[in-house]
Amino acid sequence: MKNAHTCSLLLQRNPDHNRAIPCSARNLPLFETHDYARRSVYAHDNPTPVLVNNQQYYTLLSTLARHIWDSCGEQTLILAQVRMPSIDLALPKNLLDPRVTLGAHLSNEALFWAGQIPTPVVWISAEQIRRDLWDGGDNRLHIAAWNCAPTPAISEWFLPELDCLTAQVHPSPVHEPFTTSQSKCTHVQG
Amino acid sequence: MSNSPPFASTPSLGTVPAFRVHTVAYRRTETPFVSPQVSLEDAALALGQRVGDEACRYASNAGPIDDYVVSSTVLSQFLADGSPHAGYFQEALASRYGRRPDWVTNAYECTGWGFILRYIQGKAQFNGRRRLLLQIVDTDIHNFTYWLGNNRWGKSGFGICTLVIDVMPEPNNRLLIGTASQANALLQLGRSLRSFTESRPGLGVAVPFFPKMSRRALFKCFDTACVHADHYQRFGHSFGSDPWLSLLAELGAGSAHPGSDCIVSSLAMNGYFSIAQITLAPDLHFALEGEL
Repeated sequence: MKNAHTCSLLLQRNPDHNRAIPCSARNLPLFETHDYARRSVYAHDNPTPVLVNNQQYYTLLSTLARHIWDSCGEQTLILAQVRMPSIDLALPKNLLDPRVTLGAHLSNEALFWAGQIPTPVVWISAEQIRRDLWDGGDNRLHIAAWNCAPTPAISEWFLPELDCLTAQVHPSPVHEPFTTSQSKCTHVQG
Repeated sequence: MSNSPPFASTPSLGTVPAFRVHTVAYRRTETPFVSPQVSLEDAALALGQRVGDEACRYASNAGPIDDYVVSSTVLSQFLADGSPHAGYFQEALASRYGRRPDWVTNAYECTGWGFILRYIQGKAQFNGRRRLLLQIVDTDIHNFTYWLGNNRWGKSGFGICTLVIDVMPEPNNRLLIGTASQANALLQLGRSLRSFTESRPGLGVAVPFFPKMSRRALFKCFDTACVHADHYQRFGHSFGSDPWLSLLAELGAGSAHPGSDCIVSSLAMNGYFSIAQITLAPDLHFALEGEL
């Protein structure tokens, strides 16, 4: 098995420098009274702030993808776990690229590719970033990379790109087989 | 409107099918699927069991499955976000079928099947043929008004489509994925269908189920002589299942046949589109509402 470089980043500020995002922003339009009632059935308390809207979320993902290709090489495969659907907003074109796969539970796919090819593979867990009051999540972004140069540390790739979100390297519970609870970039068995 | 047979066509000698379909089945789900009082956990379990039942019914005898993927447009975010409820959905599914999906995606809306075929074909480049179990699950456990239908796609149809497809590493020109602005999406799908079908004369063409005006606009763009009959009134717009339902209806009517090729297409509301040439296996298993 190949080593994975991993890191977890906590997003702490919205890209508009903490200007308020309308709390009524929702991923899905609610048309009738019973839509609100249905939504309230599964309402939950989550003290984590909603930092980004759909547009900002897509921009974040698109920026990460571009930065990964700039840093690791154009051939890098990206598997990104995202929370969907969002209505009336098309994905940026680079996220529809054949080198990108979007979905849920993609960790095993990342491991498959990491073992299969000599070129870089990057897994991103972005589904815990809240963009609706209905969303669960803790605004943490998890990243794992294989077949990449060991330096610079993976967090150093991304932190400058995430400056507008005041991202910090953050301790993380074990989220996937190849992530760790360590607070900084590390190498683990993938 | 539309269509005239024959749709059946045999692939050219010497060509290798890129996507050989062994199983295609569809079953509608109730609307609402669960009552509003049902807990999220129970809703997740109920849908997972239903999806697992369909997989068990139509894929258990399909031989070893290399990849198992669930695609959707309307699937609740709570069932695909890594949360405990997403876990309940997967566990319930596995309790019936014996295996969890390898991954789930609702990122590509109705065109998810095309993106998944592209991805699996990438894996096949390394390991050779891969047998894919793909389920297109469009059931809204929340019963939001938005998904019941609107002026963009008309009335909705909800259900579970189960496909078993052998994905070959080549050739690469049997799948076209594109994107357009929302405003031009229908037009761009039509133009792309024109270029895709021109080099494949005689193959039946399954298009998304839309209300008449949208269908009419789409039909201005390409030769529609081989387009399947319009099943919108029967099924409603059934999201990514549309082309497969169209195919099932044609098989049921005897105007499509195992062993033949056809073209399937879908359009996402955000402007992505998928078009593919598929080959129906000679021993194709197909079922609509459980009727073989």
